[in-house]
Amino acid sequence: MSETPKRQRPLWLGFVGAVTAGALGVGGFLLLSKQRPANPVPRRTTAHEDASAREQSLRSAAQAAPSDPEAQLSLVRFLLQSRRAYEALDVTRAAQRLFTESLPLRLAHADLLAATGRLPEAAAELGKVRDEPEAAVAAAGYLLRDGQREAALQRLRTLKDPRPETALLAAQTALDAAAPELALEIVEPALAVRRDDLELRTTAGLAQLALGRYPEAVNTLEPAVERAPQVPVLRYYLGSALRLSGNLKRLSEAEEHLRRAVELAPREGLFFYELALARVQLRAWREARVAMERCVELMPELPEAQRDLARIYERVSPPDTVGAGLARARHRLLLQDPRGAVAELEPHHRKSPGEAKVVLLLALASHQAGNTDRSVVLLTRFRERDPANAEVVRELLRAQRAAKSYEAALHTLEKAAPDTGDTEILKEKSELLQTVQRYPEAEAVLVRLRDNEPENATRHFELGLFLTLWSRRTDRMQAAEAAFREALRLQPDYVGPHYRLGLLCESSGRPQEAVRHLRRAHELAPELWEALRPLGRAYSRLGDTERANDCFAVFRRNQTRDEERNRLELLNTRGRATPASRRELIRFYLATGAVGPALRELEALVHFDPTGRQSRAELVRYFGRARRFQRQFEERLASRSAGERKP
Amino acid sequence: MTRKCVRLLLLLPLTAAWSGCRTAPRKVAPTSGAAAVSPTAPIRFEDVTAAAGIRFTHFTGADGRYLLPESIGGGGAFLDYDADGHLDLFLVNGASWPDGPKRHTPPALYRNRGDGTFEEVTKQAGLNHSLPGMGCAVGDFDNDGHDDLLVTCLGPNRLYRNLGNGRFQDVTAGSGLGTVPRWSWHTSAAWTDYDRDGLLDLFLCRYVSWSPEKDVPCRSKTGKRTYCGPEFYPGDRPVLYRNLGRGRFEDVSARTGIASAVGKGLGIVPVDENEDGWVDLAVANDMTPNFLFRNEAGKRFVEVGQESGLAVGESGRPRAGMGIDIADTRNDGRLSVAIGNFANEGLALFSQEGGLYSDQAGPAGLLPESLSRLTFGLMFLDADRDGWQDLFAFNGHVNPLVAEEGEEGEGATYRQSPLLFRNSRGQYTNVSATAGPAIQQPQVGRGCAWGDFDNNGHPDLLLCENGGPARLLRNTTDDAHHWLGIQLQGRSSNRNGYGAEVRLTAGGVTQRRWVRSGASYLSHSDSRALFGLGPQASVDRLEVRWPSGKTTVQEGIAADRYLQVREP
Repeated sequence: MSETPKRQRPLWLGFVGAVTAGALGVGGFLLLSKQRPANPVPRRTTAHEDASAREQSLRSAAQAAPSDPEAQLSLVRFLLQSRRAYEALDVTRAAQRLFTESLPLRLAHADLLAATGRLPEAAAELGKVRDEPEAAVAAAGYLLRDGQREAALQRLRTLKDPRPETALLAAQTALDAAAPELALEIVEPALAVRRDDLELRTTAGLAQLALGRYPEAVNTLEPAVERAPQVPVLRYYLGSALRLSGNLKRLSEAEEHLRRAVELAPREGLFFYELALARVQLRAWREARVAMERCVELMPELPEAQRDLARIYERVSPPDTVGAGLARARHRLLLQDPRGAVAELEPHHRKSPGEAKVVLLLALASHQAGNTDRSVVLLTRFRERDPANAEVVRELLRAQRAAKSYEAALHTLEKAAPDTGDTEILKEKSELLQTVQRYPEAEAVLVRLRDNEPENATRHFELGLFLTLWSRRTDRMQAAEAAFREALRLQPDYVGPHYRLGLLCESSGRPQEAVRHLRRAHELAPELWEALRPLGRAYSRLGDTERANDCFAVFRRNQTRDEERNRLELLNTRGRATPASRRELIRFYLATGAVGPALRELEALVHFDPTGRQSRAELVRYFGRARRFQRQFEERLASRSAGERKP
Repeated sequence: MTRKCVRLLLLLPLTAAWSGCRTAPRKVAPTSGAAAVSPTAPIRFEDVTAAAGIRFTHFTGADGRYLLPESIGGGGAFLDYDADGHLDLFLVNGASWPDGPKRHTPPALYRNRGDGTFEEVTKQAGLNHSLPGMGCAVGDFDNDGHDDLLVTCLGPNRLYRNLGNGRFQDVTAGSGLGTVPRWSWHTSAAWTDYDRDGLLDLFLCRYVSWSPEKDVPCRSKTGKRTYCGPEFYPGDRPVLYRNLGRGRFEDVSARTGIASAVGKGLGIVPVDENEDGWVDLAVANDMTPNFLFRNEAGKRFVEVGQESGLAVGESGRPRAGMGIDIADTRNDGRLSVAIGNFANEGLALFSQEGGLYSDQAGPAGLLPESLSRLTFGLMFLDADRDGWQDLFAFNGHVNPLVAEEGEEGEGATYRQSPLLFRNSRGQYTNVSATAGPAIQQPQVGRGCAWGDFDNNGHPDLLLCENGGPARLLRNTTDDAHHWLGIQLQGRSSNRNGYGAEVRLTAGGVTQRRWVRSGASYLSHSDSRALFGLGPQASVDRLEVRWPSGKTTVQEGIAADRYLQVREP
């Protein structure tokens, strides 16, 4: 069973693995070899045929030996690896008792439940196993993903004598849950047993960094860098620890490690950020500016970078320069202070009304501050001066749409690109035409887009979606169905057409087919919990009450959580955020495992209430002194997820 | 395209908008029989408010602070409080905020003189005090033959016992209904005998967890103060009180499972939806999934909104449910539940099909017209007495600045005209334009009720505007159709006969009505079951299924009158 997928690992290793993969190439670093294969997507190629043959053989083996755990497990793992969790669940259902006989079987079953959005059920399944650290860690991971942070941490706290591999997973889960102290508590005994284990060492170093124990982190990470000098992330951690340890004599060393890290991984914005800070401490202002500018370029969403770039500008040039103003304004925007950003930018705009960057940012800030009309005026005027500036046109369109000036936006579009064949512009045009309810024209544009790219599944899907959204005439629904089917022919694992086709089938009395498509949509995109409602309905129509109720229960759970998150976010996003409302949202985020958003909100809270001791204390409590290390992994997770789910 | 965009795209509601194309209805309703559509005159309503002597203007409590509760009241009722056979009117009013300038704003009770005019009897009836009222429910909770009155409030509700001498007595204090948190926000209510003990129990919707201190100060994009939506507040749990007799009620919400569901309840209609003899409860929630509480033999309720398909529409996303009503719109024995929603969401018409509800508003013809309206009051009534239940939607926005903000597209207004859809064999057509100026009058529509105040077999309308005048609209449709009104009198069942189903067969078509309180929004309609018969001058069969389980059957009944049916 060499292709057996490993258990889901926390995102920490994803990051380490990805960086090391770049540095060492395929088959390189040991960390990478333990990674779960990323998104195996069956293709209609020879590989696909091989997979079919393999599946056939596994199925035959499982059928021939229904009580053989190995045969059943192999089939289940194969299906899970092929992202066919529902089919795998069918196998476990058929051999239910078998899948409670041993830990690997239980773990596999729990994985299936988790892969179909049944995270509490997966944790409960493993909760039945006593004194098995591996089960406890896996359960903690499910609970954390389900947003039950405290329950997850509780499981980890009660671990008894985990093996080093299990300890590693447990520590990483704790780090994911913003609990570096617990992570360290778990990983240190394992590291004492396996001093050369690079993963354990890295995890321990990271926990120490997050806890602000910088000299200890240096001691932990130095041997790791000696063993693997080409791994940029290790250099980055060590460089950071050296810089933060306060040992001025070793600042140059820190800079050297960080410089090497950015050479090895030139697309990692945070590495540049840390390098810039080291250079600031070394008073190498111009070099610091170069590094920080690169960081901002790579990670424009990092508030600290914007703030610190503004500070660097103030050092290397007068504080009223446009660059400094822009950086300060961006920083304020990232902290959800659009009015502050407008105040920063207004003087620069008055001084240099032709500065495109200022106009664009001022328009954005005005829009976010609730003054969309000003945003439109600014961009319209600027566009008259510089009609060829595509960025201005894009921003103007966005502002006009935000201001609900749809006809004006269409006018802008037509003026900027009359009768263009450009895909993006045509899509924009179609959306606008739909918004102003000029459906026949919108449809014509979508048909044109499809005809331009007949082999592009997305074009078929977009047309089908249009037909289902804007028309319910029977013949049009048939056309929509045909479009979805064509999209699936071109791209069999395209989530959107599966979901839409499932909906169509469910509402037109074809529950069997609906089940097939909706299950596929959900196993390809487990975060699409909305698919469970029509799936439940389809099961109901088929008389399968048990499965139906199961779907409704998961749907209901997700919907309730979604509602509450929406409410709390809304309170904080219409410019009426108060410290109390921010705290409520932060508590919700933390309780539901959304560590990254919690961090962002806490930072914003500190920004608006800089003297607030409670906010600062919470920031340190949850995220340690070096919280960007936490952010790094959150962002890695987000980008990985986006990549995985992209239809 | 980002993941978020794809997700949004995937989840766009199928019925979010409408191209004007229309698919054929799934099932074709019966085309033969007496209640099949016969040539009919246009439905018409005439505003008789002034002529009837109604002079009531609703007070929202507004004093410039834009506190959310100001935006959603109030309701009214058709009731026969003096049991003289003529429907009287009760109009709920709001009150000043405790810390604001004081005004005396009592509700109003108008007695129907029987000649088309009304006299205000609020003081004489003992109702002349200000309350932070929202809605009302009418029911004879003590089975003494006199309809009592519940006023739902922001905070403790008020229960008024009808003494039978033209006066009401506030019996809240000893009833067990008064002990609720200071700012519990009650909206629609319904009297219903959920445990079939012959005593009316009380179901109350609660909206959101709100207090003046928690009020979010929303502003428009131009910086003006306006009302926030419910999305800013956590939902609350509905309440069920069991009638213990002798004027005492017990909160059984937790015991029966009602309290396990958190929503933002605005509308309630009790109906034995699965026909097992126990009344179920359908609740319209604002921006949270609608509830369907299935009654398990009077012992407990199980919330099956999602399982039944009533919770959300095809998009899977909750809409802003407000008013609610039920009817057999196709006269085919299958229940439909109509729910009023926010602007751009359209009305919902959840119809039973294969044991599940699906939103058939589009195929039934309720879109696209209803997309432009924000509907609160919503009720089925057979306005032209052709045997097919028409649908009336009372509309009005919650944001006074909606027109100037343009948030909901061009043409969105605070005051909106009602919509009247005529039912033709299950297919609805918007006939508002021909229903007379009274129907085209823009208002800030909230509660509404129907009642035949002149006893001519035509359902008339009571419209309650938020912060505006109440209106009485007389149905002046010049049809030649026949009708039959049924007034129930329970014995072992509750005296109002709430929970009874009335089946009437004429000319081969069977119509159904459910006698109940609740429905629409914050309001109470005529407790009598009113049937249009089209050209049929008599009824072949009338069957009443009482909550007690008994059945009354009468045959060969002459039309064009009100018939009292007593429980055997």
